[in-house]
This record gives sequence, structure tokens and C-alpha cells, in this order.
Amino acid sequence: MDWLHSPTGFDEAFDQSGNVRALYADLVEAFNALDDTELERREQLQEMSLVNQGITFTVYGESEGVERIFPFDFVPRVLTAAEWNTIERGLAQRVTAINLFLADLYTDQHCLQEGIVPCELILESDEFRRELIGTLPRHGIYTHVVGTDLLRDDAGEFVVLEDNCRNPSGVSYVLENRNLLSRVFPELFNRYGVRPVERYPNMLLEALRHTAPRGREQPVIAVLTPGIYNSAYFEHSFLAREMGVPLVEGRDLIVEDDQVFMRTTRGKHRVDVLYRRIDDAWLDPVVFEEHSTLGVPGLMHAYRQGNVTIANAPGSGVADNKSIYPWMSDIIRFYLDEDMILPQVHTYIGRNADDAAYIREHLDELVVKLCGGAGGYGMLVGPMATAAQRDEFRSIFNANPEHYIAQPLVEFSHHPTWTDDAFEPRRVDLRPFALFGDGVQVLPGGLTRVALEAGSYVVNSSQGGGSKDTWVLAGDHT
Amino acid sequence: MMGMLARAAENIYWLGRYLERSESVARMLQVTEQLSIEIRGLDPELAAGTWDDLLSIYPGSGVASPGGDDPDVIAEALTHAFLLSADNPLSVASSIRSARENARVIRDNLTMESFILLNESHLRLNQYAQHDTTDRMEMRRAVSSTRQEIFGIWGAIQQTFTRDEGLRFLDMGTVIERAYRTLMLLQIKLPRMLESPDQIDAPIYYARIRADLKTVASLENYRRTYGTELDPMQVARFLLFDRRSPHSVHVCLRMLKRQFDQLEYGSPLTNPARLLGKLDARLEFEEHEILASTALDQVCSELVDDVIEIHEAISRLYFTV
Repeated sequence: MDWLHSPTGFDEAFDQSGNVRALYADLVEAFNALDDTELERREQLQEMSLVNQGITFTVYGESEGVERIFPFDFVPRVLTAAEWNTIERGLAQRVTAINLFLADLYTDQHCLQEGIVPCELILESDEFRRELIGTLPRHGIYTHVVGTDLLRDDAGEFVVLEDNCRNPSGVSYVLENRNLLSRVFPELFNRYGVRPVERYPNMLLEALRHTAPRGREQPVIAVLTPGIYNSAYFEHSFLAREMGVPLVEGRDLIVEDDQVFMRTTRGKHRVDVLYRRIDDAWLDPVVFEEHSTLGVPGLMHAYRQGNVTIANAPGSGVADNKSIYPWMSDIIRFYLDEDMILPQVHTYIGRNADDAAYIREHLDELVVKLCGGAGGYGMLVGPMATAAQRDEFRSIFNANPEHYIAQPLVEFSHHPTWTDDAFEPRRVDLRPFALFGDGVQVLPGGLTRVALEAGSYVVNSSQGGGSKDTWVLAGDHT
Repeated sequence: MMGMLARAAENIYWLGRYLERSESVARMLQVTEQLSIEIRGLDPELAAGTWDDLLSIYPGSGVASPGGDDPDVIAEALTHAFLLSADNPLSVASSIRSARENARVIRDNLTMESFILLNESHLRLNQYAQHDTTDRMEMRRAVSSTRQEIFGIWGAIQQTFTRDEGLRFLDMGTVIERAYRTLMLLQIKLPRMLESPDQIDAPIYYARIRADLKTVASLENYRRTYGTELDPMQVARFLLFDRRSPHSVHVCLRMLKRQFDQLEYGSPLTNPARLLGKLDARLEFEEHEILASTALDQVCSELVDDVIEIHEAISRLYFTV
């Protein structure tokens, strides 16, 4: 069996001389004990299992939404207890700080008065909801679920790329990947003490219960989905089933007297907590997007009266805006008086004159991003662009440098991935999930996304990405 | 007590109806083909005509009679139309697809075991449809394996479901569909069944009655009660009033009433309860009058209307909140 290792970046399974790292030696040996035919058989088994269980996501743009499976690579990614400890502490720190920051932004705004974060960044942000100033969610918890994207730099150090504070998705794959791998490759688990992940739905349910409105000791909780054609519908129904709560759509809900009810076979029944998987803009046609057919008229009013918990809280998106990212270390120091545990990618800030000059001169080395942009819109990947493209971008940048940030191109780490005839290095990232209820808890595992194409950086499921089971070891691996 | 989500209840009720419908269409395909093969040597025209019943019992199919008198051509066209066609909303594949769509919507209410079996069945039928199979052996195999799969799905549901409102709605959907189909069959078949056997070859006459009983999965139950004697009035009585056969109209309506009464235990009288009570009383106390009627098929047609009215009343009470 061939195992190739990556000449560039950090290879998680092999050192620079190409020797297998101690952590991965048992895994490599276990795979080497299987021949090609056996691997092919297992691969078919695993694919059939995903299709039969309907573990799929919906692709738009094709006639009536085609269901696809999210490709799964069976080589697990292993993290040591020590590595995890850092990630866990780092995420708990970020999530705590983010929630204090949000609570401050929507009340006294100390951080703006003291100039920790520039006022205009917040006031210009589309995600900042002025109408929510003065509305503090239960226990001050805004982000019940955060999925933070991490990369491993050349030294193997975990670096934060971004926090997802709105509707982070992918956790169902964390659980299903584990389930699948343990059935298709049970022997891999023999020599590793892997921490289980199946408790996630309980953890989520506990966090949601904890933040139910005052006086609702036995809260009625529901998952709010845009519906069956949403690409993450499988996850929505998965979480509802695993938590044992109803999966509702906007049309199942009604607001009366500032309380939210769902339409049941026995009439209207009050709902206390909505774990919503709908973006802010679609939640309530009265307040936000008036053409929304996904949301519930009057929901925001009920929320402001404290009669319903919405998780994550509306307005949380302001905290994960790209323009806030460079200030995270200051935010953490201001609210917690601590140094930031997980490093970030060095970021040049366009509104800062020195940085803007640097960006202008180093466009060929930098990835420049529009602060409010997402999905690659308004972005330049300098090292991959032509000189003409860079020149064109430079003039756009010069018009409004304050709208941009820039970062050096970060190399992803590589991880062995089965390619039908060999184990080859492919780029991976990591999205762990942190829950905030009675304290912050991080699920020991996470979604490792992998760019299945050789040389590719794209890990998104809709564009040739796949995923892996992510193992967090309970103790030292010997 | 908190009810279940109205939309979920409606989906689960229709899941029951679609599963029952797909099994009943698959069964009817099997029986029709079998009968047509059995009698074609004796009466080729009649053998071709047996397929027409399929169109009458499922008027909503939108399938046109292929015409001609070649039983093979007719069998091939109609088996395809009722097994795999996506244009026919009543085809087995369409019903399984609808059942699976409903199951996806209420996946949080279903157990994993039930969903996986249903999904597998849907994927297999999809494969047959993609290959656009017209090979009759293939289609026969598909019909028979699909029936087995549906029994597997029901088994998984009965063994794994929480005994709550959801299961009641599923059962209600199943039995109302079944009562409806048995009545449709009787309505179409009774006039011919009650013809004097002198007017037709005896072997064909009896083969047809046996096929009719099989169409509603009741031949074995009938034999257990009456042995091999096939008297048409007895068959009609059996399919309408028998108290032990799971496909008799009265048993279906009683199951429906039982589920309904348990849902509404202690509640004031509702419209579906009133309709169900009336129909149950009629079947309980008017057996002789009904069987003595000179237009029994007409009575069956009235009963079909009653069942539709009950379905509508249930929808209004539970699904439109």
C-alpha cells in the first residue's frame, strides 16, 4: 500500500523526512493489513450505507434539488489529548468573550466608548441589529452553538480562521462519520482510546433548556428549519430526532399575545425555545425581510418580550464579521483580561493607513477580503491572480480601503486520504463545535473537511470537498 | 396533553395511506397477471379484459387502456404504468416516492429502521425506473420484492415506533386506504361476480372470484372461514362484514374507530366520531338489509362516499389548525 506525504505544509501523519509520526503508526499498520480488494469492499459498503440512510445534502440549481451524499474519507484524523486541551480552552475563551462582547454591544457599549473596537465597524455592519439594543437574552447567552474554523500552520500549530456564530452546520456529519467508521472499519479503533461524540444532542438540549425563558421550567423546544429543500435539512431532522423535539417550519408557528405557538393536532401549543436554522433576515417578515415565507410574523416581538428563546440569538452575526476578527485579541483582553490562547492569521486592516499601504504593495502575497462579503465575493487571492487582475483590484481597493482586510495565504495542513489506489496527502481544515449553556462545552471531535482534489484548497461539500472522522484521544497514545 | 405537530400528523397519516396504496397496487398487479395467464388459453379476450379492471379500480391513475387484444402487449404496458411510471400518481413507484418524501419531512418522528427500509425500497424502484425495464420477468421480480419490502417496513414500524399519536395517525391512514380500496373493488367486481355462473365457463368464473379475493389479500382468510366453497354472496358478505379478516370493510372501519376513540378519549363528540359511529352502526346492524339489496354495487359506492367524508372530517379536525 502506497502512502505519499506532502512536501509542503504540515503533514499530519508524516514528518518532513517522510517517516510516519508515532501517533499515526498504528493506523498506517491497520490499513496496511488490508489489501486493495478489501478496501474497495469496505468503501462500497460505506457508500451504500450513506445512500440507504439518506444521509444527503441538497444541491440547488439542478431540477428540484438533487440529493447528494457528502463524500466520506475513511482515514480518520487523530488529535492528541494535549492538542485538544489547547483547542478546548481556546474555544471556551473565544465563546465566552464573544458573548460578553455581544451583550455589551447591545447594552452599554463600553467596548466602543473605550475604543477597543472602532465604532464605525459596528454601526456600519449589516449584522448589527439596532432594534435589539436593550434586549438581553437569558443569561446573556447569544451563541448557543459556535463552529470555529481552524487550520494547522506549517509548524503544526492550530490557527483560527473564523468563528461561525450564526447557524454553524455540519455537526450531524461528526456523529454520522463516527457511526459509519466504527461499523465499516471497526479494527481501527482497537489501539486508540477515542473520546465519544454521541452525546452532542444531549449537550445541545441541555444548553437550550438552560436558556429557556424565565418561569418555563419544562420548556417546549423545537428545531426551526426552512424545510426539506434546504441543503442542511438532513442535519435539522437529525438533531430534532436525536433530541426528541419537534422539527417545525415557519408555517407551523403562530404568534399571539407576544407568545409563540405551534399548530398541533390538539390546537395551539406554546413553544419556549426555538433552535433556529434560518438566518436572521428570514426570521420575521414584520421586522426583517418582508417577503420571507420561511419566518414567523411577530416572532421578534415575542423575542423582545422575553417570551421565547431564539438560539442563536438574533444579532449574533455581528461578532463573526470579518472586520471584527482582527480585534479578537483585544476583545478577549478587554472582557477576560487574558491573552488569546489560539493564534489567528495575521491580518492587515484596510482602514489603517500603514496597513493599507502594505496591502497595496504586497497584493501578490495576500488574500484580500471585503469585510461584509461572503462566499468569495469581492475577494482577491493575490498569489493566484494575474498581474492585470491585481492591478484592477488595486484601483477598486484604493477607492475604499476601509472596507477590506488582507491576510497572507495560509497553507492548510495535509492528511492522508484514500484516492482509490493510494493514500495521498490532501488539505484539511477543522470545525469543532462549542455549546454555551451552563458554561461552555466543546464537543471532543469536530468536522474535518478535506479537499479531495489533488492540489485543491476547496473543502466545501458543494465543490468537491469531503469529510473525515475526527478522533480526540482520551489519554496518551502509546 | 400536547398534541403532535399538525403538519407532521398529516404527513404520517399520508405515509400510512401511500404505503398501503403501493402494496395494494403491487398486489393487484400480481393477481391480474396471474389470472390473465391462467385463463388466456380458455378465453384470450377475457384474459386481456382482466387488465381493464385495474383502470376501473384506480380511476385516478390517468392511464389509458393500451387497446388491442394481445394480452402480452397489454400486460407489459399496464405493468409498467402501474409499477414504475412517474406519470401515474398511483403507480407503486410514485406511492413509494410520496411515502418517502413524507417520511423525509417527518424524519424526526420516524425510527431509523423504518426510514432506512423505506429509503432502500425507493432507491431500488428508482433503479428499475432508470433502466426503463420492460422485461416482464424483471418487473415481476420487482413487484414481488417491493411487496416484501413494504411488509418489512410495516414490521419495522410496528416493532420500533413509540406507541403515541404518530402511530395512531399512521394506522388510521393505512386502514382508511384499505377500506376504500376494498369498496372500490367490490363496486367494480360485484355485478360480474353476481352473474349466474351458467353464463360463463365455470373454471373461469371461479378463477375470477379467487383472484378478486386475492386482490384484497383475503383468499386465505376466506378459506379459513368457509373452506373452498366460493359462493359470490358469501364472498361479498365476507369482504364487507367479516369480523376477523384484516381487509374486510367492517374490520378496517373498526380499527379506524378504535384508533380514533383512543385519540379522542374523554373529549366531546367530534365530527369524524359522529360519522364513524354512524357508519359502524350501519355495518353492525344492517348487514342483512345491505346484502339483500338488489344494487349491492350501488351500496358500495355510497360506502365509498362515506369513507371519503370521514377522511375529510379527520383532515379538517387535525390537520387544519
